[in-house]
Amino acid sequence: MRIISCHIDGFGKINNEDFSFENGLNIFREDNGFGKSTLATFIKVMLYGFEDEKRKSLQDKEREKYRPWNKGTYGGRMCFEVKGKAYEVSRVFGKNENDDSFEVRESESNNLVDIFDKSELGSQIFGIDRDSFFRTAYIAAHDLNKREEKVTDSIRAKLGNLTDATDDINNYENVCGKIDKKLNEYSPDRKTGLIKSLKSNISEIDNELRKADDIEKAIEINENQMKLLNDKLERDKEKLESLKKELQEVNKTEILKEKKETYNSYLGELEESRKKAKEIEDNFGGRIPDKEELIEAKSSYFEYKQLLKQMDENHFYKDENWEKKAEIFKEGTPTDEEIKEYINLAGNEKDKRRELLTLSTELDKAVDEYNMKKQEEVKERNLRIQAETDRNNSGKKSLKIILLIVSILLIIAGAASLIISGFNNMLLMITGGVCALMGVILMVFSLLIKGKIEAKLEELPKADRNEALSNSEEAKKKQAQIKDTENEIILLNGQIERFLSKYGYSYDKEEVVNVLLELMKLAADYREGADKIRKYNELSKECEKRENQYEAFLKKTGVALNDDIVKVFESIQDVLAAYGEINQEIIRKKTNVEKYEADNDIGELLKDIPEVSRSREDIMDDTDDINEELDKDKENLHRQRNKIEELEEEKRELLNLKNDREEKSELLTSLEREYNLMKFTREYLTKAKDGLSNKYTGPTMKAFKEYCSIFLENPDDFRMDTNFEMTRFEEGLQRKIKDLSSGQKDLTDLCMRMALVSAMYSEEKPFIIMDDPFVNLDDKNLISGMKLLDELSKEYQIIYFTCHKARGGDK
Amino acid sequence: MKIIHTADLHLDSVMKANLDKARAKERRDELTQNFVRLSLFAHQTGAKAILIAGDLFDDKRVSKQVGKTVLNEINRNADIDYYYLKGNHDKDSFVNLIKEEGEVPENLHLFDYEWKKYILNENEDGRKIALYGAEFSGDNNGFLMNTFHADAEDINIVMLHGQENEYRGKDTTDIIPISEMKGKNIDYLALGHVHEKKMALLDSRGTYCYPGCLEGRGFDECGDHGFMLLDVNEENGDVIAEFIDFANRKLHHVIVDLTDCESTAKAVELVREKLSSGKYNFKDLVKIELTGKISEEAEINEEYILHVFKEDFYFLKVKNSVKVNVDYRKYANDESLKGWFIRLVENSEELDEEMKGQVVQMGLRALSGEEIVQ
Repeated sequence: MRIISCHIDGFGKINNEDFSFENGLNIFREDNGFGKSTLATFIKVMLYGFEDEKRKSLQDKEREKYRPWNKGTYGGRMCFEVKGKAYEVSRVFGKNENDDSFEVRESESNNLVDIFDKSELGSQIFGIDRDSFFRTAYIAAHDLNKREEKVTDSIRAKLGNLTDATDDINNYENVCGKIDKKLNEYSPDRKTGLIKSLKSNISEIDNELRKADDIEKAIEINENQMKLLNDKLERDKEKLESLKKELQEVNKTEILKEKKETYNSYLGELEESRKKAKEIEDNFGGRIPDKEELIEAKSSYFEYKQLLKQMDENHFYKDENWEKKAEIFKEGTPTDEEIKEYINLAGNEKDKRRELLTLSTELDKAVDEYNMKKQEEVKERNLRIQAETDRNNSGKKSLKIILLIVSILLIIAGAASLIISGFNNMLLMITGGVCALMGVILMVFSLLIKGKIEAKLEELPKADRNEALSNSEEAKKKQAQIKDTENEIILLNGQIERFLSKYGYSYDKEEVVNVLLELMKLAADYREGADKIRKYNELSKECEKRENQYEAFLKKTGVALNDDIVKVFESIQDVLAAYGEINQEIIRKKTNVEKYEADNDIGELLKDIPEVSRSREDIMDDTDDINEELDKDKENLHRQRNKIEELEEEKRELLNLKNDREEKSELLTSLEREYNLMKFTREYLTKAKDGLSNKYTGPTMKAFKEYCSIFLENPDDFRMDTNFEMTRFEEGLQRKIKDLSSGQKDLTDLCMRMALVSAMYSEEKPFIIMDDPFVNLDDKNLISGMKLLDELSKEYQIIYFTCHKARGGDK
Repeated sequence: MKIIHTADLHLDSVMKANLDKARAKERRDELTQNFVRLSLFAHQTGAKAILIAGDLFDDKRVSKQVGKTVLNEINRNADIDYYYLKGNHDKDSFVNLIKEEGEVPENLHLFDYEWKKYILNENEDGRKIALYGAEFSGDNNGFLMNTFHADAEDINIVMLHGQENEYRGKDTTDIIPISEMKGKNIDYLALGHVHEKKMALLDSRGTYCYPGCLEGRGFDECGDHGFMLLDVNEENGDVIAEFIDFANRKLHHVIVDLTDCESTAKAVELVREKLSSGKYNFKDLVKIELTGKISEEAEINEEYILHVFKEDFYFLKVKNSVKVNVDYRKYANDESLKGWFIRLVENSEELDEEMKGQVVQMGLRALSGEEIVQ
């Protein structure tokens, strides 16, 4: 590839200048201050853009350094050829990178091409970055023999033709840096390394874990102590058991004694009660009356007294009329009801008589009514006849009038007709004549009609009782009723009379009621007296009976009688009550005894109870002591257990630590594995890099030797490592180049650079920019330098800047 | 009559499954609570006896808190009889603690180095249910095997704690020689010691059974855990054993094959697919192991996978056991640094195949700017 031309609008001190370039060597000899470096920089900037864009200070920015002094257009264009095609790149630089304009056109067609990037043009053309460009294709005197690394990764990549592959070789330093950083992190040697610190940690844990044995021993010792305490506890418990048993025996004996006493007391009480009962029985002669008997006898006595009282009340004194009354009522005493009945009958009889009167009156009335009715009937008939007669008369009268009127009219009509006819019209004459005739007839007829006819009336009948009695239903009925009533009266009278005669009374209709009332009173008196007598007799019988009952009871009891029977009864009652209570007592006590016998082993109670060896108090004292001991034992055990618990807790902590250690060990193994992997990875990556590098150090070395042979005698003594560091065999060993003169070092470096270019660009050679590289060379070396330049220009387009004729400026 | 057969509760155990301190304590408390739950289950189902065939506690010493909790539960359920046979882990510590507190509860029945017999249905009609049990002392194995006798008329249940084996062998300390237990009128041999459930025929009459531990404590005890519920027919002598899945939390070891998986996102999908089978509960502890072969360019970030799923479970752990399968042929002509690197690793004699894959993977991650170590 080569530069064809460039036009600078404004760049540093150069403005509006054109430059053209040929193949081979292009020498630009200008005085200092012309701007050779500026031009060189322009070419570089056109390819790679400005450096130091990120710097904050304007002064430090390359952009500002070359801003045109005349403030005109800052930029230019450059034609170049790559892979046989010519292009023109134009750039105008603004205030910053974003303001820059950039375009590339094909020179032939002037078409814009977009295959080149604003900031990557140089890399795209040369296949290396700016830094690498400056190390190879751009050579200035101050660059030669610098200590900095000669070969960048970019160069290496180019040398290895890796621009299209991944940027792994470019990354190699980064990668190794990262791996080294990671290895550092993991380092098993550095204090802060993960592996180292983990190992320390594990070691600390191991130290802690060593305590586990001690803790285990301590636990064992404490457990043994605990066992001893447990044994003591057991022994004390046994003692306590034994004391309890002893106490039980004592209690048992005491209980037995108590029970025996209780049993004996029950028996004693029972016996006492029985004695009391016997006394009472003896008092009653061996036979105790029962309560019901006493109650009955007492009741009999009180009834006896009551009956006596009643007898007094019912005592009846017969007067002088008593016998008479007895005689009257010897057949029986009528009751009040019976007498009242006869009073009613008397009343009925009176009513019947009154009724009879009424019926007679009614009969008379009926007869009168009959007669009157009969007369009324005749009257009615007469009225009817009269009315009819009148009607007839009236009718006739009317007829008569009508006939008269009609006859008149006819006569009139007849006369009229005759008149009208004038006795000419036969018809009219006939008609009129007929009419007149008829009228006359009628008139005669009406005159013949008789006037008022006199009615034929009946004569009113006279009143006839017999007839009425025979014909009137009502009268007949009344008659029957009168007959019935009369019969009833007769019956009633008969009854009353018979009744009265029974008791010696006669019958008087008017006085019968009074008589009956009197009889009633008499009968009542007699009945009352008779009742009293009867009652008195009954009471007397009962009284005697009761008296016999209670006297028999008292005799049976053997109790001495006295006037105050009540007191006697009361005393018996008291005794019986007492006896009853005693009997209840006996039953209760007997039950107690039986229950006690059922609940207890009487056989045991009846035996002799042995005496105890020690008192309860002594045993209790011993028990208290043992309990105290037991409490102490338990407390000690509790303390011991707590101690063991604490140790167990410590042990558990250690177990946790152990788990922790296991985890950390696992982690350590994992880290170590990773560490080893990283180491191997680093190692093999480096081997790969070296291998790759070695692939291209060969060609580089070959080219170097070729170029060096121009000015050095033994170029084969030189050796190059994979970092392109040059050494030379001296005194049997490879040593860094020290003894070359500075001029030779510059030349050597130049050869190195060109050797790199030669190795990097095997197909298409790049242009080389040399900015007065030989400025530091002496004459001899300068000659070598120029020879080298000639040699190089056969292969490369070289743009050579110098300010001195001697360094090629005369060409 | 209903009877519960359990064993290996290992109460007061230090929980091993990589839990932090707080969670480890929580799990320990949950294990203790299992005893309370078991008693409640017995009460609710009408079980009259709980047979604990050894290792009720994890250590010969039991902490006061755990010991008292167990004692309190036994006292609270006075209508349930607890038959406690010690195993190889637990010793007399619990019984000693009981004695310190007072008396051994009436419903707690213990065993010793000689055969002890209890009748479980004393007051019932029908055949007697006889329970036998003995603890190994280290040298009484032969004695126990030779002195065991059971009445054929009874329904015989025998409790032992040890490793079942066909024969006794030389080391007899905790060996239960099954062949010597045959033909001894045993209807049900209630064993403890093995933490996995196992049930098999003993002889023509009976069976032997390990109920397994009541709850898994580490990822070596994954799956279902619980106890056996025995239904004993006192008329005909049938003993029907039903496994009751009882663990509060389960442990799962989930293997996810990531063969040909290229990315963490895809790996997450595969893991999610596996976890969505319904077997894994949010209460459970899960260990996901990533297996299979992936290419060298695949990126599998197990930390990310852990982060995605850790909230779905009580505890989650992710282990990356994936092998890197490098296709070296791809890089045969790769003149880049990568190609050189891979070919050098391939031809290395100091690295094994697994390590080669890992080195290649790490190198590629490094070259592509990713995190070298994930």
